Amino acid sequence: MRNVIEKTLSIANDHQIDQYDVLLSENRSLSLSAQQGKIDAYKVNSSHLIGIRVIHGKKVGISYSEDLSDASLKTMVKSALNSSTYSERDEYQSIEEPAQEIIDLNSKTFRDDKASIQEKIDLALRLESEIKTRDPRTSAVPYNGYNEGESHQYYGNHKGLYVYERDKSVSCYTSSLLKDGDQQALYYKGISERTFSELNPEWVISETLKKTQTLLSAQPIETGTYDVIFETETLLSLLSCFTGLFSGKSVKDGYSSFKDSLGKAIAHPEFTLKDRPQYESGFSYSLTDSEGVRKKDLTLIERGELKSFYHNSSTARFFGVSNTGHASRSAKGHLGTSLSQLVIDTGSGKRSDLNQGKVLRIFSLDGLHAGVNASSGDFSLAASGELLENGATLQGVKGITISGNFFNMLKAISVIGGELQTTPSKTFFAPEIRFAAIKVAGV
Amino acid sequence: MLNEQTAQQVIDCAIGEGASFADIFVEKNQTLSISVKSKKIDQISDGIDFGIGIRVLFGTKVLYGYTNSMDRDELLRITRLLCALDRKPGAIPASINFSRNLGVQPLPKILGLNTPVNLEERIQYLKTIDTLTRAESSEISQVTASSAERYQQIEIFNSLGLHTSDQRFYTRIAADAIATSGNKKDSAFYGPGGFGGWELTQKIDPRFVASEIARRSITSLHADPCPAGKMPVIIDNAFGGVIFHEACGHLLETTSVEKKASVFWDKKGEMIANPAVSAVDDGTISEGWGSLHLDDEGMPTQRTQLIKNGKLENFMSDYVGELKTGHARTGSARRQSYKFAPASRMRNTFIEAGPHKIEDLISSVQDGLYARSMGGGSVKTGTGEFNFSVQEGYLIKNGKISKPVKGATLIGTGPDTLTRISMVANNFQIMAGMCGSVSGSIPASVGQPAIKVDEILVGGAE
Repeated sequence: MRNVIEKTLSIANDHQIDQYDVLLSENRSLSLSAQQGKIDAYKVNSSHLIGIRVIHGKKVGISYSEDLSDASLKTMVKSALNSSTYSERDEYQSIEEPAQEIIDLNSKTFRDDKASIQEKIDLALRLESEIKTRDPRTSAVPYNGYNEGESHQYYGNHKGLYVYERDKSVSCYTSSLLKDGDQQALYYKGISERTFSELNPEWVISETLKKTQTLLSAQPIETGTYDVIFETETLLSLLSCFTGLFSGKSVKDGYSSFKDSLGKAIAHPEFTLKDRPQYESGFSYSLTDSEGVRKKDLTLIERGELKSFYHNSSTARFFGVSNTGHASRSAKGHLGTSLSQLVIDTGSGKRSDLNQGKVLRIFSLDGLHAGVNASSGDFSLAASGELLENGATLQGVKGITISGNFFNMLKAISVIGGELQTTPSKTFFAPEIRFAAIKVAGV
Repeated sequence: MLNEQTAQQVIDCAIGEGASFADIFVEKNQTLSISVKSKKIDQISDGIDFGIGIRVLFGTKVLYGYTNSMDRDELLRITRLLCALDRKPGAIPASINFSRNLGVQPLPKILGLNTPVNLEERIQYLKTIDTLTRAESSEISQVTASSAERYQQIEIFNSLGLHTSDQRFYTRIAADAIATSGNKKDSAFYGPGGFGGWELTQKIDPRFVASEIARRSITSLHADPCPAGKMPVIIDNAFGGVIFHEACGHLLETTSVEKKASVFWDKKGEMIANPAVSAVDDGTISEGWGSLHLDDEGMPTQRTQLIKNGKLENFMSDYVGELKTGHARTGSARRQSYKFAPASRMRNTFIEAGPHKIEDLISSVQDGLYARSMGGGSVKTGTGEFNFSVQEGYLIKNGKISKPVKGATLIGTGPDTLTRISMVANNFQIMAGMCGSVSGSIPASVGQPAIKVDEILVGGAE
């Protein structure tokens, strides 16, 4: 694919465009799912996508193509140049990374996998059959399957910078729909690893069943305020709705309420939040951002104080600060910002502090795409989980909503646990955190 | 787009390997998106997507692959790869004749991306929304107005001899505003769209768009948190229809029914809703955001009565859905792109108009919530549990609309809520949205007149 990048750069050069960079992604994947003891769907694919950003007369234009023929590449470059003529001058966007070659053949993120297709089929079938076997109340196992994928990312710019990175992962998932009289419950779980042999289907099966069984007998709790602990995966999903507030682009565009908060206390004094893109155990590891800038660790919040926003080259130039290497751009899109792998530092809280008294433990949040207002920080979401007292389960909980405000929640932390946990997707690392006085609507 | 001889060889190959059915979906998309932010052009981008999806069935087992290549050898390689596990030695090689050629649909006059694009006109339209929104109030601190246009060309071949093609045009305007007062911020979104080209924007008045996002963001900015608890709720028209989409629509797709992952899978012919409720999924609405000429399996789309006076009449079904459930195809096979196998999906889904005025609904409530505009939501099809957010809400006190509230979420289960819709108003409207499910994210309209739900759990921070 390097020759396609070079060909596109050459076409742009022929047009005497001031600055330009090219992104090319190549993806291959396989997925299969099981139903009623048979493989009911099997999907294989390969695809590629190229996109160019041109900056001409300080005006930006973007175009992309899934067709890599010479004719399409020429059309794409011309179209981006044409779009740029309608854009307004952007004094901050500039492609500056100097000529060098960065080729990451990291053996940890792209490992050989010798598993046969039959082993993968057997895994999908096992996920379904074991769910059915282990609980006779199973009325359906609607979602079971195995996925694997690899991606290859190429970048080149007019200065001569060339970057290549690659990544490979596998995952499996299952679900359980249990029915007992009028009561029913549905839950899904999945897990990701780098190779097939590392997948732990037993954990997926048992975790799925355990949660579904809890939900089957679950009931709403009384309306009121409760201390809440979110399971790590759920905490990530909630936190992700608000991490855009730390983006330099969001601050620049007037969307972030943290605009004037640098250096101020915005969270509990023990709360530290970092982005660690180079943490190789994480599955969102990558070496460079979408402008070819080497990524590095960044502390966003340190002991409750807002330390930094995350920037691409443009927002860094706008604010007159260092580029943090958080540029994000797909081949189809304009320059933005994004985080890689968030880590919340462990705290001093003990298990007994986390468990003390009544705590609502949330393992499922629904409606995150609609029930969250990142501008105001307000959220109101359907939730399910279990109510515990001194660590012992009192009851499963469903049919409730939890409501609060993100800005207040960051300050209203009562305990930060001492043990780092991760999500099944291995993209987020955090201890258990007990949030005080979250509003719950139930019965 | 794809040579018919190549298509024939690919399908012959699949059938020759023992497949019971095969189809090819060829797709070319042209896209254009423009965004105005901070009073100036923020982004302009365009591009072309192209790919071919090959689906092979062995009975009800679905095998799917796709590629960006039109090369015959690559298409045959994918087909053989898909068939490798289920190959039936000795299968009789087929030779398909594409006799059912439906041809290209005639097009009305459309200012789509297949015609010269007037970028200045589009930019000016978006800047007008920005200007008008800011003029609504000094509390409006930021506006983003964007347009997204898509010109999709598709071609479908299948082993039943079908060869057909279609052209689809989509245009959507999306606008959001940020309202700021001191340290407080709030936002609102409005996104009308339709099945057509840029000419549709003549029916989308920038003044209306501006007033909607300004009113919603400012109302929410100054609203108190919503009280929590069970109460009667009046859900107003247009995007209020998301309640039916989530609480019921997804449960009536054979995608869920075939897995018995729908609480309604065995309820056809039974009363599943209050008799006040009649509901439809209609792919034929002129300029409807979720409309189609043909579905993504090449079947002409249709109007499907889902519920009539509370009784479940039909499911939405596709080819595989019919094979697995026996429910006849309804022209509902849809997919985001060639990267997805088709599945039964909603098109324009709505509750039909009833006899009441909205004022009758409001006045019938002593203490409750009036959800004037809704955000999105989601559902667990297996249990029917849903959630929706209220974007603009007001308390109802003694039959009258009272103070605004924010942060309200409605949760419940589809089967229960459908029986609690006791009044349906006559102010029917439909609204564009995006629907995500097993075959990707697709344009789908939701709609309804105002409805009264006698009791629903409202989540709020008060």
